[in-house]
Amino acid sequence: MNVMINSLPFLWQGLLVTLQVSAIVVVAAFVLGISLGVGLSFGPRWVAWPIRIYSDLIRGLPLLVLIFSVYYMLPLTGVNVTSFWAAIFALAAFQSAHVAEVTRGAVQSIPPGQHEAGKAIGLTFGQRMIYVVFPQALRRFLPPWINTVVSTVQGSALVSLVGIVDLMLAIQQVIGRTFKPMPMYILGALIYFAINYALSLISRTLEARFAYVRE
Amino acid sequence: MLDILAQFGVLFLIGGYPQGPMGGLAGTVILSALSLALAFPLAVGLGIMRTSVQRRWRWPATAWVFTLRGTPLLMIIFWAYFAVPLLVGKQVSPFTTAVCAIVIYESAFLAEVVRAGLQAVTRGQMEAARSTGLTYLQAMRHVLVPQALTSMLPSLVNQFVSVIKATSLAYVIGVPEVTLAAQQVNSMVLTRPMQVFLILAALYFLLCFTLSRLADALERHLTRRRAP
Repeated sequence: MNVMINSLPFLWQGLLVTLQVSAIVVVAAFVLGISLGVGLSFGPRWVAWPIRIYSDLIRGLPLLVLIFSVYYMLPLTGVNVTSFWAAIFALAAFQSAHVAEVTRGAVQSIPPGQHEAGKAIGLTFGQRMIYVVFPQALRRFLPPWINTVVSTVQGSALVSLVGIVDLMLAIQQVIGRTFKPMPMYILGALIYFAINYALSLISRTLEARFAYVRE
Repeated sequence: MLDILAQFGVLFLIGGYPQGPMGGLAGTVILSALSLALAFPLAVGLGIMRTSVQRRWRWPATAWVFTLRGTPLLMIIFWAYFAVPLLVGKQVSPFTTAVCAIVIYESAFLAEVVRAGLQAVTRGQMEAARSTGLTYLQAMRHVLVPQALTSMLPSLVNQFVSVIKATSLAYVIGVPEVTLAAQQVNSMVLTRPMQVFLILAALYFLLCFTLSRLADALERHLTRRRAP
């Protein structure tokens, strides 16, 4: 118990890094993933195909392998970044592929009549997306998107393997110093659980808020 | 890259076998298949508990699922590394530890697949089964679970893909599988990490992509069969 309390300030630093990594990745993957998803669903073949290949390629790789590949490959291509940004790059690339698929599923569930009606009243493509498709697709987008956010928080634990002191590595460093693995891992599991439980509560609220489209 | 493959291809595919334990890609497949096979019965139990109307069954299962889905697998693997020997009371191989960790982790995800499958079976099936005098568990075993299993098949194959990807983490405790093989090759070649990790990525991709295509084909086949 004492170990848990004494380690808290140290874990706090790690937790901040975990949250920072997760937040950057979630935002980047959101923007990138939605663009890719729209390109995948409505783009001409020369746009949709490369995105399909990208998405299938990324989703067929374990996140760990992706992180290691980026970590070792970026320096070889002449880009010099810290391990922090290499890991964020890998995580964002991984999650954006998943968000793209979530977006594709959501926007393709909107019946074609909606697009045609939008066209008929003279809306441009961008306007049709923003005023017609997205508001209706939101309900189908949110639940699986929150799942990708949860998996981002979990996946951020892997950045500890390239030496970034996030919550996971902070816990291990405390264990390395105190030799008390059990209480520390329980505390760690509790912290991760708290983050993700909060996320699932938010998701439930959001789902209720946007449940206005009835089938 | 080809010379690395020529020199270390065998290490990538089967690890140190037959001089050492089976590893490499074969180790990954064995680890994933074994974990999935062991996690499945657990998940069916959890899934049935999750759909129960009685709180004393539903709540423990729900707590189990939510806790594990919110915890990183890496943490569970490290935790199992310390906990499994304590619980068993003797030295345990990293392979067994990894199987335990992945079974615990995946049981939560599979339980959700099972729950979705059970809830997709129409209510009338349960009511009809109960009215012929079957008990709740008999109705589950003979009527609902068999029907749910068929619709779950594509998701199960997809879950197999995520188990394969999850096993890459087992390398951190030294389980002989393909990521560990790549790390070993990398420390022997030293100067060309990019090629080594490209080979690793290609191996994972081939395995996972083939399986997810299989899942898609299965799903199409099932929908076609179900449509009148």
